[in-house]
Amino acid sequence: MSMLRSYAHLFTRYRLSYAFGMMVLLVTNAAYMAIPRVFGAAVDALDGGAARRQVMLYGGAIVGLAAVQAVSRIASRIWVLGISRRVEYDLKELVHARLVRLAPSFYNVLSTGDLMSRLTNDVMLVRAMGGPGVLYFANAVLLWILGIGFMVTLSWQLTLVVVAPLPLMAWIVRGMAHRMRAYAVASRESLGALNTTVQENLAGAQVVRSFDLQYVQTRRFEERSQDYVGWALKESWTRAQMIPLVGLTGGLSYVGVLGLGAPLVAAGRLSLGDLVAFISYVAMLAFPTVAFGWILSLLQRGSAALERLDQILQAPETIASPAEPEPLVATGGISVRGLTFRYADAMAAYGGLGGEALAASQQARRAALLDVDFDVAPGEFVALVGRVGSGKSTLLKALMRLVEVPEETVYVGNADVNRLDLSQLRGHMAYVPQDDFLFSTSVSSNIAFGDPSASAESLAAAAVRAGLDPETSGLSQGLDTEVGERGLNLSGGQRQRVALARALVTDAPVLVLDNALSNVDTQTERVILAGLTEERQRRSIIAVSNRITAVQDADRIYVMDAGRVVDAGRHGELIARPGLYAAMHEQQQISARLERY
Amino acid sequence: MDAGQEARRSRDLRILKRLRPYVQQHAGLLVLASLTLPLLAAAQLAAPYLLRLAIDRHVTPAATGDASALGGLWTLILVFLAIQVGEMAMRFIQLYLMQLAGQRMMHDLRMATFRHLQRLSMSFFDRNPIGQVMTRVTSDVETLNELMSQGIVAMARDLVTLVGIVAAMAWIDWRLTLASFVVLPFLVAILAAVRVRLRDAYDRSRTLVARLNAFLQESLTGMGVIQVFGQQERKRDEFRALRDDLLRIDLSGVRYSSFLSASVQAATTVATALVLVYGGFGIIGGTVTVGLLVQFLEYLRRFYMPLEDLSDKYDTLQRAAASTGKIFALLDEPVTIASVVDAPTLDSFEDEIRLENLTFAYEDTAGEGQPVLKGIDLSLRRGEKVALVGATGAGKSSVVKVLQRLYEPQQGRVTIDGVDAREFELGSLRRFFGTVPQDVFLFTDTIGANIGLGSEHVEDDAIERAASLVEATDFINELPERLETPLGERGANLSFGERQLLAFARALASDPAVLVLDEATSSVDSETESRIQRALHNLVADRTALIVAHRLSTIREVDRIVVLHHGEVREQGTHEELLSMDGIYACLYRLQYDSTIDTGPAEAADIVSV
Repeated sequence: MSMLRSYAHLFTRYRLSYAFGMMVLLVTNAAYMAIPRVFGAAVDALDGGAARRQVMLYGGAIVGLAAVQAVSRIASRIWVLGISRRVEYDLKELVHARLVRLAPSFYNVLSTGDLMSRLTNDVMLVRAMGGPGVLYFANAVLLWILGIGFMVTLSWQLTLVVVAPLPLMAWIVRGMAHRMRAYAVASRESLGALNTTVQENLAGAQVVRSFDLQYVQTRRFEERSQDYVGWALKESWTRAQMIPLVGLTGGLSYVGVLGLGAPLVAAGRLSLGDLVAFISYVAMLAFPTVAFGWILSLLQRGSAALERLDQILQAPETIASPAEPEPLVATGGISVRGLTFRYADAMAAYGGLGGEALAASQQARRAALLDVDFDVAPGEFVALVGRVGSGKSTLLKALMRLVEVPEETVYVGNADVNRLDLSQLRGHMAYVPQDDFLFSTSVSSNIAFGDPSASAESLAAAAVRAGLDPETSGLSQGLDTEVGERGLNLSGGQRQRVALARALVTDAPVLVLDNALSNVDTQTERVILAGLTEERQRRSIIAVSNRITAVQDADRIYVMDAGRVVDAGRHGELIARPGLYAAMHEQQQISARLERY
Repeated sequence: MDAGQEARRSRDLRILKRLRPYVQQHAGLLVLASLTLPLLAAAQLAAPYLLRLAIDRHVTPAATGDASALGGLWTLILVFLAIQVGEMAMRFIQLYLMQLAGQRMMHDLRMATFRHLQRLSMSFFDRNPIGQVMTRVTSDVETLNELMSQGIVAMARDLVTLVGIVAAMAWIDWRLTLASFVVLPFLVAILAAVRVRLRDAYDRSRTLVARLNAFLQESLTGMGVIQVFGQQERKRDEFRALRDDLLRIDLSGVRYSSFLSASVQAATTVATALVLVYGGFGIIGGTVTVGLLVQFLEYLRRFYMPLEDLSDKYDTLQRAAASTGKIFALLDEPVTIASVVDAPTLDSFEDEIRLENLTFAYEDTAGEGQPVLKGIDLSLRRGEKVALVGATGAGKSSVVKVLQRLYEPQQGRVTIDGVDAREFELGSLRRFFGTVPQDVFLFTDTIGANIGLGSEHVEDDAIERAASLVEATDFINELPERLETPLGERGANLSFGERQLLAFARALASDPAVLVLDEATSSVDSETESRIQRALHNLVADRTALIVAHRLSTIREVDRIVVLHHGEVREQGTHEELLSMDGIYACLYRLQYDSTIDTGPAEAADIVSV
């Protein structure tokens, strides 16, 4: 409930619309509840020997009420349900806006699937709470208030009889709702266990088959499924009681109205028409009463969903621009001093989302970077070489603050990156990440992602420089080729070249290549690299590569091992002395020989 | 409505029909639940009738001064109450039975899906992302539950009630009935017109929601790129544009559904007015009583109410059809690797296992792929230990997978003592090989359960024996609950070496005829390294073993080395023989094992991956 209060603003910003919706809702319900009165009056008139004309008048009055009711009902539904749609998308936007600000470490903690489920299912539950939940709740309350108002004018004794079962009903519903919530929690946990079983069975598909575990796994799945069914049925058992029990209390009202109303009529203290009206009221109040139970569950599920969304909205923004950023002097120079970084430290920030558990793993606790010093002078071509997992990519990410960088360790243009405006810092670098992610649009739109204002000519030029010459690149429709979901219509090499073009189209003073050509064949790679020498006139280049041939022309090569920089120098210097670089160089030469077998 | 939508709808119906066997499975429950339908309808009809009796026989006479008329009223009230109680009991029974049938059906469908998944081969999992498959077993099945519990029977109930009400009304007074339903044709016309638009809005909304979800999914996956290129604002604009479209459609949907529900309400009210007027004339003429008027009024209310949420029901039905379609698409996925009928089990072998002219390619989505094994011939004699070496991508792991029939080769075969491996019962063939895969997959369960894997082929003491043989007992005994210690998700609380030892123990626990070991490539500290080496030595002692080797010390354990290169067997022999050939093996050896090169054995393989 406190969760609801902190997100009340989602709803209260539409308070005027809500208020208007409530007003028309009041009108529609007033018209609705007036009908039995008119009907009762008509019955009394008939009882007193009314003429046909009079009956027609009463009928006309009811038709008039029908018209009022129809118009106001449409208005109230459109207003209130419409707001809930707006709330839904406001909430989605709020979460989306948060998500684009959260650091990459957040995405290591919460999987895309989990995030998607929160963005879709949970947001929908909140909508159900703010739309139908609010509408039916208000409707029920208004109907009762109006109903009681109309009934009291007829007979306070009978009104009491109709209202008397209400506390009983409230008590029943409360007790049941309590039990239902307990069962719902248990069944959700059980469902979680069931899902884990499926998840592991699929992720471990090979182990399951290798060890012939299909039968064992099926049996376990069956147990879990049965357990879940058990809890769900317990919940249904209670739910199935609730609706009839609430209905029965309505039935009790009928009994009371007839049993007490008839003697009142006999005694002349109530007219026949009034009794008929009362009978109608009892029937009309039954539905909103039954709906209360349902409204309650909407409310519960909605607030639980808000809680899950709150975890995203409250997740710390670990990488953000400072309030008063320093100006970035665009030199292309970079220096790193004594940088140590552990992924665990970043993950631990996401406590409620299971970040601690991830941070506890050995992999995360290891220092990905350990006391690293690293320099790039303006206009230099610097390379990083080392084994897989030695920290090269992490170092590149630190330069752009894609990982949480400690104060006073990384300087770009002589300013601590933590004191620079984030978009300025990143705009300073043209990055080709290792993971060649593309958006599912055309090749040219993907290239334009680097610089949305780029002209068609400069897009084409960037494509050529990245080795995507329309004549030779094998793209069926040139730059208009649709890349498909995640770029899967393209080959790995083509994807990498699009990603390279996306970086080349910018005029950022630093070009950052993370194994950017690993899937491109050696021939094409050579052409692209030759083109990049031209690039060196304009900007600094930092390149990570697993292939030494790709970086041997670099002004300086840093050799990394287990998070440390273990050596640095020119290619000639490095191969001259024994060490990791020389070893890797020799290995790659042997590999090249091996390829020829 | 265009033809495409019409086709979609008939397809939806076809899909829903496939649920029939699952529904029939619980026919008993459903029949029982539907038995309550006429009773419920009867109760619905009886209550207004009793009201009429009460008014005409007791209240009206009493109002005109006949005090004795109240005499039988309480009997009537008690009958009324009894019917109410009965109706509610029926309703409870019906609601619960429906949930029971629904949940059981979901269980069946879940089991069918899961069982089918167990029979699918690895190539299916290469083609389909786990998340998507998970959705089939979880949320899609759950959506169907809605159909069962809210859709089918509720509709049947409404239908029976509607028919019952019309019949009862017509039987009592057909002229008054006509008056009550004069508005019905107008209502039906409105409903028909609005419903087409509403369906349209729902359909378009569904398409847009799918697009929005695809957009979100892509944004989340590509968040790194978005942030690096500072395109957050642009993505927000794109999001807003999509949202505005969707909001517009959704709001039009809301408008139509509001119009629909308001028309039903207005129709009820107008019908009430008509009943009042026409009934009032009847009262004046003496042909109609006040009680009858009330009875009709009650019937009207009960008649029109179910019409109100028709559009919601349509939506439920469509969503259920979509989910059902996806589930059955999964169930239709062909099982490509299975045992032949009455296949004998494979427990042991006498002589040798042979791979004959094996050609194999991983199939991509188009069903084609580059062969990774090209005409491999390889033999493994009983008691022999053979190492498989080669650069990354040479096809070593694929040999292991084909051997276990995790994948089917396009050409050639595997024989055991001369018998085609496909003739043996699949499970026994796979158990015949005890495997240690390159990546150790651990389940969220106890250490012991991760060794024994819950298999009925592993006895309890075999777990301890296996653990002690690979010297895993040392670290296990240090854990708080020893073998009963639960592992965190994917064994996050274990070190690499410990995981490796567990994998060894797991392979040993079922006492397989042949050990197949795909050595991990990760480099480890020297202490762990020697622990793993000792364990590996114990593991393969006195056994037939095929080892995809990455470590020099492992190579020294074996009788024979087979060199794979680009999917072909290129060299074969002992370490010395192969070195003296100065060919591929010599290259590989220098690359991976030469101690003069100061690099771990592990990542060497990664660097080779060109």
